[in-house]
Amino acid sequence: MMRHADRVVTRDMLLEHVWGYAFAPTTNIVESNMSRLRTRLVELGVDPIETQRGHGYVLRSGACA
Amino acid sequence: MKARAFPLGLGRLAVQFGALFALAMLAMGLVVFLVAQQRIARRIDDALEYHSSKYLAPDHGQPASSAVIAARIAAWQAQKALSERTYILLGRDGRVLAGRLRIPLPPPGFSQVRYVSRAHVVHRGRALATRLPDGSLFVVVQHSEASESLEAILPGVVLAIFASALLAGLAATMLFARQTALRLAETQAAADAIARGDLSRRIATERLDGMFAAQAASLNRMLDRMEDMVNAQRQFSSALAHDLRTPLTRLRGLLSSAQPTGAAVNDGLIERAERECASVIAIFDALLRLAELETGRHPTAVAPLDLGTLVADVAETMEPVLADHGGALRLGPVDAAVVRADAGLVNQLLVNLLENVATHTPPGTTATLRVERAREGAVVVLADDGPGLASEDRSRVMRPFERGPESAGRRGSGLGLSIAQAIVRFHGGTLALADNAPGLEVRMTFPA
Repeated sequence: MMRHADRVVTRDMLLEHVWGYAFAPTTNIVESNMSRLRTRLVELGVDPIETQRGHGYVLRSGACA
Repeated sequence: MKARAFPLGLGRLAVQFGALFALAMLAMGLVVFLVAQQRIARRIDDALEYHSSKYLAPDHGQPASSAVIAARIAAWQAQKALSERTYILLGRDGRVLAGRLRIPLPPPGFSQVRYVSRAHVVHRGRALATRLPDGSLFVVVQHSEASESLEAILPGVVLAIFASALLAGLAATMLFARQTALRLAETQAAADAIARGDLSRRIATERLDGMFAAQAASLNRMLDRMEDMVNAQRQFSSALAHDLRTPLTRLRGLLSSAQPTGAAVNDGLIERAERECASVIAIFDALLRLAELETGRHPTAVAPLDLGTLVADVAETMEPVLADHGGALRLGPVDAAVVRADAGLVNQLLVNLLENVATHTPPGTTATLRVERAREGAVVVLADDGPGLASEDRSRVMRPFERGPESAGRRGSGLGLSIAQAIVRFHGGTLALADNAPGLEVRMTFPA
């Protein structure tokens, strides 16, 4: 996501490039892991990941402390 | 079952075997004949030697002279005994000194002679001639009657042996062919019935024996397996049609209700329609993957793979998912175990199974993943403490489109466990469901 900062990263892109999964999971693997990541980042005092409903996620470079 | 006419090839076979059998019998008969002849000749020679030595026996300590032997022959003739032997003493010049037989002068030792009997019949005989010190020749002749009669019956015997052996050989092979054809008829009848569509037909084994019974039993086992597969395929097709029909019907309903209303209302409809489409597509994706795996045509990347590392990775990815569904995932003892496997497929296998746990168990369920080393290879065990499955459901849910008892209202292709099993089988392993008391245990064994 850092390499794609300020651009939308889709759920399928994350599945394929982060986990290397070539199949379609039936549960919210990406969503669950993303919310876990956001929780940790909020604990650190930043919240740079923005959810674009129906599209994917955007890492806002401006929001990184 | 009516006996059929023999196929042409079998008839010719019978003739060939019959002739071969007859020739073998003939050869055997000839050998017996030669051996008998040899034995008879030996016995005649032994008798000749014995009787010759009796006449040549020393007289009062002196070697028997021509005169003594002539006297012994005369004494024998005086007895007028009927005998198959006769004795003669020939002088140095071939003159007969004693005895009645007229024969050409034989060489010393054993020889074959011809002589004319008193009835003017030419006989063959065996002679043993011994040269005496004074130059005269003492000859014992034995009429070889046994040998002669043996030779006389030879052509008849040969012909009889040949004819009876030919007949016996033909009869034996015809009988063999007939019995074989009768037994094959059972197989043929079953095969014809199956070809006509009666898949439940089996070869009747009660009248078969030996190798025919063994072959029929093995063919029947093959037919059992094939009938199972055909039935599974039929069940699969009808289940597929049924499962695709449901979302498609709902989709058509949604689309027909969408037409008259405005754009704002249609927004929600389109979202629901998309979901129905997605579930149809998911079923097809799963089916294609299953078909690929089962036919072994999956474009594969099989390489040495550490199951321990992969299991730990999957556990890390899936832990938040199970947590979101109100459950928990723990990583149990993980032994390093390298097997030859396709990492993508094993990832899918474990994700599928953990998704099953997430969607089919109530909140509060804890699942545990562990890797064990066993004699037969590496075992990945996924155990949960949820409600589990009854033993009859455990075998049922492995079949395509079969679901657990509680999942009727839930989404899912009904192919998850079928795909999981296909993936494990693709690696030459086994997938078994067991009771975790409480909960379900899935054991996946990968050969080392």
